[in-house]
Amino acid sequence: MVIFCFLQIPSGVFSLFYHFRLAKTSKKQADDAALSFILGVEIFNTILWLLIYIIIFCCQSSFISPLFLWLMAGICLADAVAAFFFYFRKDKTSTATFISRRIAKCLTSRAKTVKSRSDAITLGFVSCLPELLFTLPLYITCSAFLQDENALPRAILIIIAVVIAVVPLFVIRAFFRTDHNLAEIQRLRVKLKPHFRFILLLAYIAATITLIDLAIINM
Amino acid sequence: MKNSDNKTRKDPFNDAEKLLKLHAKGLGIPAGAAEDFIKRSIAAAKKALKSKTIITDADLTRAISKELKKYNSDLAYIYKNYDIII
Repeated sequence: MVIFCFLQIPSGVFSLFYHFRLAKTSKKQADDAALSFILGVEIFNTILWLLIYIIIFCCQSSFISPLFLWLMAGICLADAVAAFFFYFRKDKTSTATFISRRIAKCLTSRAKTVKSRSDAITLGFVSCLPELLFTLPLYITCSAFLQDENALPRAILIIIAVVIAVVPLFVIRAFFRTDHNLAEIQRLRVKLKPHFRFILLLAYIAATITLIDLAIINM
Repeated sequence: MKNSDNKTRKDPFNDAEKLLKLHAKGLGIPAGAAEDFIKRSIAAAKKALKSKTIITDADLTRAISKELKKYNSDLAYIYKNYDIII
């Protein structure tokens, strides 16, 4: 779950979006639009969780076989390496991510031109798509493990997972509401970038070790 | 500005000015002060780039943000880096 907090594309899009909304509307309207963006991210996470959970549920047989565990461990290890070396671009003075510059420019221009609430929700939804490479294995692994839980703990865990994913957006929103501007927030994000990379690496390695451990036990 | 095909070319300095005004408003800089130092920065950047035959986006951004730094470092930072935030 921690991994979702440290992925930076939705945070970057959200910062830009809030900044441009402040430039074009009042503080209250910018804040309302920000909540719509966060709702878009929540909708994406919820749909993905439920979809993967339902697919795994419909497969009827137990998903947690040693083969599945070794496969997911391998993917998490690959994601660990990718998150550390490739997630952020080499430029030390920016938080530019691995996505192509064309897509980044498209997201930036959308963040600038969004007007209505539905557009803000769509932008929040779309900003999560590029990170599926890093988040999809986590959704699949967690959904497979949730099959074995009872209904109430399962529901609570899914709700916690969906809520945790938007904690960074609420932090950024709190910064904007306390009269910090985009420059200060961006300088802070650049300063924390090495820490984010390291935490992502550690989190993915922890997931890999847990999966390998379970694979060995299940063999 | 029109080229030989009689089509109007966009002035990159005008686009930069509009973007800077938008950023200044987002950063909460008072409109009057922002307009003043944006105009001064763009005039200084135009002077600095006068000798160049071809002006790239990077040249424009560098020249304007260099001048803007003297007046407001936050605005200069955002203008230089807003397209590498994501």
